[in-house]
Amino acid sequence: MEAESPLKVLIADDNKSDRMILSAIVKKMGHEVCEAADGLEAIDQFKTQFPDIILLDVIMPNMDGQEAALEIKALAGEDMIPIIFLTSLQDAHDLAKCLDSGGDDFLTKPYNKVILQAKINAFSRMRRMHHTLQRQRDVIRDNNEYMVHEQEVAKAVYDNVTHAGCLHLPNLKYLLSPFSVFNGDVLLAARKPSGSMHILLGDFTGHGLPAAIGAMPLAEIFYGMTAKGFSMEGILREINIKLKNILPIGYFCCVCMVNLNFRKEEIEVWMGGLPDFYLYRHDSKAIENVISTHLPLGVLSSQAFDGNTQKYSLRKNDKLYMWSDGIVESRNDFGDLFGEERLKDIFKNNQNDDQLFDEIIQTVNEFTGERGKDDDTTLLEVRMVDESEVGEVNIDLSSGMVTGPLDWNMCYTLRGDTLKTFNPMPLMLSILSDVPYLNGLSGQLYTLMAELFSNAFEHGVLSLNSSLKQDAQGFAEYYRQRENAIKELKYGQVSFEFDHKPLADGGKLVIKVTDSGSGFDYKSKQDKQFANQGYSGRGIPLILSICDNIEYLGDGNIVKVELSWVAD
Amino acid sequence: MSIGTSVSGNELTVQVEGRFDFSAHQEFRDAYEKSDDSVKSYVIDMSKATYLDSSALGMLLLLRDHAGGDTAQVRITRCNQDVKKILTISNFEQLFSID
Amino acid sequence: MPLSHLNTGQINELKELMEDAFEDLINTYLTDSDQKNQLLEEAIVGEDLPKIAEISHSLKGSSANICALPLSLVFKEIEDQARAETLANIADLFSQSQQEYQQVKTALKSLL
Repeated sequence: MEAESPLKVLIADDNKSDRMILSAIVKKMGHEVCEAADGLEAIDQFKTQFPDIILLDVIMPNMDGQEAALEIKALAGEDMIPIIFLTSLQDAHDLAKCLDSGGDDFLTKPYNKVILQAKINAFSRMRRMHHTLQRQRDVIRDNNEYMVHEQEVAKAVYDNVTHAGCLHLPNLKYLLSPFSVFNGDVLLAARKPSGSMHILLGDFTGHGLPAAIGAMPLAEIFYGMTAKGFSMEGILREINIKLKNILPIGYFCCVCMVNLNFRKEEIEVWMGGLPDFYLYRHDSKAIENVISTHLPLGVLSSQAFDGNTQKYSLRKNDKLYMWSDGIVESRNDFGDLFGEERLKDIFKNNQNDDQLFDEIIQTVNEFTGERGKDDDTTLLEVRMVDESEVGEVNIDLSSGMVTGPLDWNMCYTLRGDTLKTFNPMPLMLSILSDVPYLNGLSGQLYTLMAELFSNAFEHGVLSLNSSLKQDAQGFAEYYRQRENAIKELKYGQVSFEFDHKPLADGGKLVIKVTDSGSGFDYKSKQDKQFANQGYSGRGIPLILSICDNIEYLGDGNIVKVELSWVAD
Repeated sequence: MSIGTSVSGNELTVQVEGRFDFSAHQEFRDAYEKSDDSVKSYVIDMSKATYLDSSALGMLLLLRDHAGGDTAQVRITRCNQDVKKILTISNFEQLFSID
Repeated sequence: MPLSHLNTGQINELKELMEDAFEDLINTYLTDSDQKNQLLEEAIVGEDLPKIAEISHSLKGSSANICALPLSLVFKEIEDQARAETLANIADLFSQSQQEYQQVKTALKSLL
């Protein structure tokens, strides 16, 4: 006998002597017994005694064993109640009928103790295994329900953050078809204060929740910065560094961002890692490929990130078709890729370009057929229209909340040892980049500020001669002198004054840098229109490539630059 | 899908066969993580790879990181047209030497 | 040898299994069988085929379990005939069964 917890065994047989024998065998095994003399009693006993295993005679008065078995199995539902038929039937057909009615095994008369014990033990093991599976399944089911609930809540949050923005506008048609609850593709559109429209299509590595999670910060940045009028480069730069910081290595987001300028009838495109998009010309019906020229977002460091964009003119009713790789990489029943040729054929065979969008979806669906898709699929059609068709932008430009600081002045002075050791660049740049348009120029602003500061400090405060920096030897000498001068410096200061004013269609930044040095003879040199020779080392051409103009004041210890910007 | 490796001098060659996708994740990772410490450069032989998806691109980035990030010496060689196209779309030639 | 009507090895095993309840078992079998033999006879007289089959089936099983194999076989014959709806040999078989039953009864009682 096996050392197992005792079972309750129901014995249903109309012969009392047979029941006595079976009962004796089962009790000897250490199990508990309940008895029934016919099928009806067996069902009653089953309902009240909850036996674990049933030994059921086939031929009994009132209700026979097969009928009773059917009813008991129905009552047991998904619980496993093994039924062993007791029979002296020999006919194969009769035996098969017993199994069909829900029996699990037979025991033939005369009863053999050893065989009965072996069978009870075998079914007991099977029952335990079934129990374990049931329990595990229940745990999994509970966990799954819990997870689905959590996903629904998370999905609601996700949808709020990655909302469709202005995708409802009449110049856009889109399809978002996620592979699972969460979409690894994102499609965002928002109007800029200037009236232009930013559109972003992103495809994160993988799909489902892990892919979708990165979409939230992406959408936050996209909507937040677009509403404040930031440039594409500024926004992409911000998203890139955010994704680079939060995504594990190997995860990234293929992105195309578009600035749709209705007034200029022009689009500006930045594209990294997505398959070619098509520019459709309404008049000629020709298509031009827009290609990916960048790495996906979240791969490169901020320094290596390249925010260059390409511009295309887009006349009224010209269209840009954007998609995630779910379109060209969808597969049919044979595992063939949809591919670019099929996509091009749709355009080639098109009669009415209002139908193009629907034709693409229809063709892809027909291609994949019953098989269905195995990736997130996103499709967007962007049509160039007159701005009146998409309406005005309801953004209050005077509110600093939306546009960032536009009308302000700040003075910042560095003195003494702080001047020698402290790097004021990060602080100043951080303040400047609060102005939406300037944010997109952070690289150039850094160069500008660095030039202005080193001019004021080195040539002004330290009185070093810039003409030294003409050859390698001169440079070495220059830096030797610089080191000494810093050591000996007793007093010195550099003041920065920033003044930013809003203009009708943009803003103007004036930077004035004043140093405590004795200045220089700029008047004679100004006539030479800042020829490089006269100002060697002062990086004037560089400064002028960024600013509108540069002007020296006072004794030459004050420099003023101006930079105007126009919202696009 | 299968991954094979061979070492020659300080160079580890990983050969990818069939579809290079997420199912190759563990095997691909094992291929370079279990390699000898003396390995200094890596060659990914794509001659038998039929296709790669974005998770394969992710795996290549992981290898690049493992091999030293910006100083990594990783060559991706013998790509077929489809594979090359995907690498080009993603501009991976900025990160890897691809021939 | 009256025990040839019973399988000696099996009946000893049964005795061992039942322990104190062995006597009770034998008595139950005999009381039950007496009753059923009576009912079987009535059914045969009344030519109630399903009833004949049902009762002989039951006696076949209980007799086999009590180790009376020859008796069980006679009841099987009766059951088979009834199911085949041939009543020709039924009377003979029944009297054969009753003789065998008496032998079994004696043999069982001798064990108590």
